[in-house]
Amino acid sequence: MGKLQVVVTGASGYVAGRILPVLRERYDLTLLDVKTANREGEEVEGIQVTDLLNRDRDTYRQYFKGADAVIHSGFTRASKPEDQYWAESDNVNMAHNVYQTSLEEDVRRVVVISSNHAADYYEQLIWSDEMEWVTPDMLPLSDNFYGWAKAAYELLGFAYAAGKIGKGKRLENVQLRIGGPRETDMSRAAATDLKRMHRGLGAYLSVRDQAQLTIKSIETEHIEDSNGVPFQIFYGVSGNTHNFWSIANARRVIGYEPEDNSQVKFAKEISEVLKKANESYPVE
Amino acid sequence: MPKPKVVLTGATGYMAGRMRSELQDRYELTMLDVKSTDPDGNAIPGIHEVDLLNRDRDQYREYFRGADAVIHSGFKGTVDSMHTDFWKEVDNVTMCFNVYQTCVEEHVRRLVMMSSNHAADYYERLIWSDRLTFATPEMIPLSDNFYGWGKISYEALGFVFATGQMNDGKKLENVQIRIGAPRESVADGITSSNLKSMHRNLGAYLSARDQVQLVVKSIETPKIEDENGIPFQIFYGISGNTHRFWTIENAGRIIGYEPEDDSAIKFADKINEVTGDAQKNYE
Repeated sequence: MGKLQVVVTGASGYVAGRILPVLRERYDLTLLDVKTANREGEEVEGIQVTDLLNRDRDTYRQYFKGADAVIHSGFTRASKPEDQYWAESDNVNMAHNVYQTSLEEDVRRVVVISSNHAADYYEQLIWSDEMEWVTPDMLPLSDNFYGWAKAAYELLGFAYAAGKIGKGKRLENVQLRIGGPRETDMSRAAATDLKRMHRGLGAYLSVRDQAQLTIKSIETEHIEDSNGVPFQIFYGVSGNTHNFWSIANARRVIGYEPEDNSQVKFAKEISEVLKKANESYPVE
Repeated sequence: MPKPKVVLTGATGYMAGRMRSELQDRYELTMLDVKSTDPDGNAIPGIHEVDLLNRDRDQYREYFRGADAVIHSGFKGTVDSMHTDFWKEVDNVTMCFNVYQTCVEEHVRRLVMMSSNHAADYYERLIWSDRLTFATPEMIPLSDNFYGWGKISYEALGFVFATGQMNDGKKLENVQIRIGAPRESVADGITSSNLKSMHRNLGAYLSARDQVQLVVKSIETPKIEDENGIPFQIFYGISGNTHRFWTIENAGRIIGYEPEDDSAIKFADKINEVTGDAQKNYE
């Protein structure tokens, strides 16, 4: 059997860059972006330059033709603060163009790189001890335009999965709400702010867990919800003891088995912080 | 006490038309629209013609200045293209952003948004196939079409504005009203061969006076904060129908909505005809 054909948008970006070597090995990749260099200025091999914000889908349709799956990690950002809403509105439009082109070109599945910010309002409640846990089936609430756009394009994904837009043809899609995809959060941890440390550890997503989550989101045969709609929202975090977003559905639906746990991976750094906190622990 | 100053957008439209005269009695009303005639072609006096899709908010800012509340019922589109044109719905979301942002900048305290039950219309597929009995505004909003998606997006944008986070902490209080079936024709065409369709129509019914009450109370109730202190609410806009399948419990609790109409009584004659017919075949 030949390799699956997979399109990666935003291919020169940071999140895609973390798993590009793994994806290159596993799939026949088509890489798309508006630029060919990554944020360090290094050229990324094999990028086709195309602008997915263009409403004329014929300018990039060819890259989607024949693909088995699309990983959409492309996005745009505002050049000045007062334009933030318009840039986020463009991100929703870009996701639409990717969904619609995928539908038209018979791509079976789209994996969208979304963000925990789709429901980031709940963190205000969590870190003020009014709530403990967030699951993907809660109403997505955000207090900012960035998070709003994630919620808007996730739920647009549902509309495409439900099949009415495609006149019965369903576009299967998985929304990955990426947590903290970096190794550096512990460097800012301090005994004076243990909640912040908890946050960093709970949100952590390792490179190999990101790769596993993405690959299983592409390759798992059935991703239908309980009503038969091929749509899922998964939190993109490792198997952290400190998790405060649920990955139970990712484990159940696609068999996600994270290999990393920030509590073990950063045990030494954590123990230093906790020892320090222990020094000022109230004694009875 | 002087009348509150209220801006009504989409003022020549059908939804606005069902409450315009009551609002004019009660408020000092500023009416905005892109045209000055109603759907039947009648001229509506007092309309300021302005395009709220313009990203240059200085074009219409003056009408919002000094207002106590805004009722946004402006929208773009025709019934024909209602569920199929994504870019039109993007424009509708854009228009809402312009209204929200102008309200914040001009210190308008409260915004009442005409949304639609279509923000969560996917659940009706489950309801009418007996997999769900009731939908509530706390459920994740799911729609299978672009029209519903547009509602979802601008309701969620309303929450962002209610937190104040994007505007230096300045909160824009807002209420999203998911209008059901705002028409007297809900019992027309119902038959004993499709009782679920009758149930749907009767459950979704919203009378004109209940619409007025819901909008007026959404404007005038001093406190609309949710349990976490965010001044944001989503209410279903339906009468007190025995056949309802969307909850109006939160509207009763938060703004004291007490619907005067119930489609089961209002359309009793027609219902009796249909159920009597159905009874003949009852085993």
